[in-house]
Amino acid sequence: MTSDQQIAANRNNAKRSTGPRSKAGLEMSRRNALRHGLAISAGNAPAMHDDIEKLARVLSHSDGAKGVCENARVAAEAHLDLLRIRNLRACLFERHYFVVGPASDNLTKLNNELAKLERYERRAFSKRKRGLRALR
Amino acid sequence: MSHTASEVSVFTPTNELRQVFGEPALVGSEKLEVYDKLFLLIASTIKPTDPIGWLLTKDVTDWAWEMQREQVIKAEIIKYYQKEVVAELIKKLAPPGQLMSTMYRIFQADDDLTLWETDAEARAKIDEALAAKGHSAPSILAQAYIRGATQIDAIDRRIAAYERRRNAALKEAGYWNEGVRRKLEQATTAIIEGEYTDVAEKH
Repeated sequence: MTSDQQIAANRNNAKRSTGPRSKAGLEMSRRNALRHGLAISAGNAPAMHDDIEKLARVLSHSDGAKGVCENARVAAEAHLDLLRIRNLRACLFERHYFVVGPASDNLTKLNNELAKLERYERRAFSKRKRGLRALR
Repeated sequence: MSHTASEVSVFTPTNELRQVFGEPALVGSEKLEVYDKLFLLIASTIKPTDPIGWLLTKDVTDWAWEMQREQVIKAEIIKYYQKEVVAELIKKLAPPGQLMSTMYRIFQADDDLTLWETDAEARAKIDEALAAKGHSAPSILAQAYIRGATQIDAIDRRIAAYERRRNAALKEAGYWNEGVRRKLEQATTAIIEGEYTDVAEKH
């Protein structure tokens, strides 16, 4: 177990780290969340707002509600995340397999990229399940 | 599967849902008509009556589709490595004598490899010649599997993950409606089994 002294030392050390400072470093870190966009939920993507509302409305009505309930919105967001992940997976297949063929290097790249999507899909699936169950 | 394409025209999601679902994520030579047929086939079995039923139908269709895609790619990868193994072994079929052997390797081995790939009769002859040198078809296939082991393993893991999620969607459907869950299970099992047979037959 970490001692209080160690925790304090870790916090002090962390304060000294202020992240990237160089222009190149700042530029690189600025794009961190944009690599595939999945770190940002569909709910925070303005372009998806209309679709989320549309689906949330449909899901709310299936429950007999008149307005849009929050759980329906959560389920809608997660469902659209799942669709985004599927689209991204298709893009990866296209780029690393169908365009360039099944050479070993391409397949390794493809497998690595697809493995990264796994946790986002798992998370979105659980979130949607929670949303749909709460709608019941 | 008891339904044919002509029998499944009545079950389609509402326009609003269809807009949200968007176009399916297809790649390579995958055809929209084939995807639509699969979707309608599953929908006609489940007969979803509410938006949640449609969401789950879409899920099950997409995962069934992706499992099929991975199976096709897996078969292609095995073929790719099989060809790579044969490309190396075929050079051992060179006639005796240094000059003749070099000539064969430079000028004819590639042509023979193309024949092995495209001409069933020529392939049988080359397979026979390779077997005579101790490289039977099963041993070549085994070598292909060994070369592609990492990739095949990754595909198998992905298929297992899609299957887990498909089963979770089925379970979720049961949470909403036991009848729907049973229908989904029957429909997708038949489809996936059909896909495996289809892929195996094609490759």
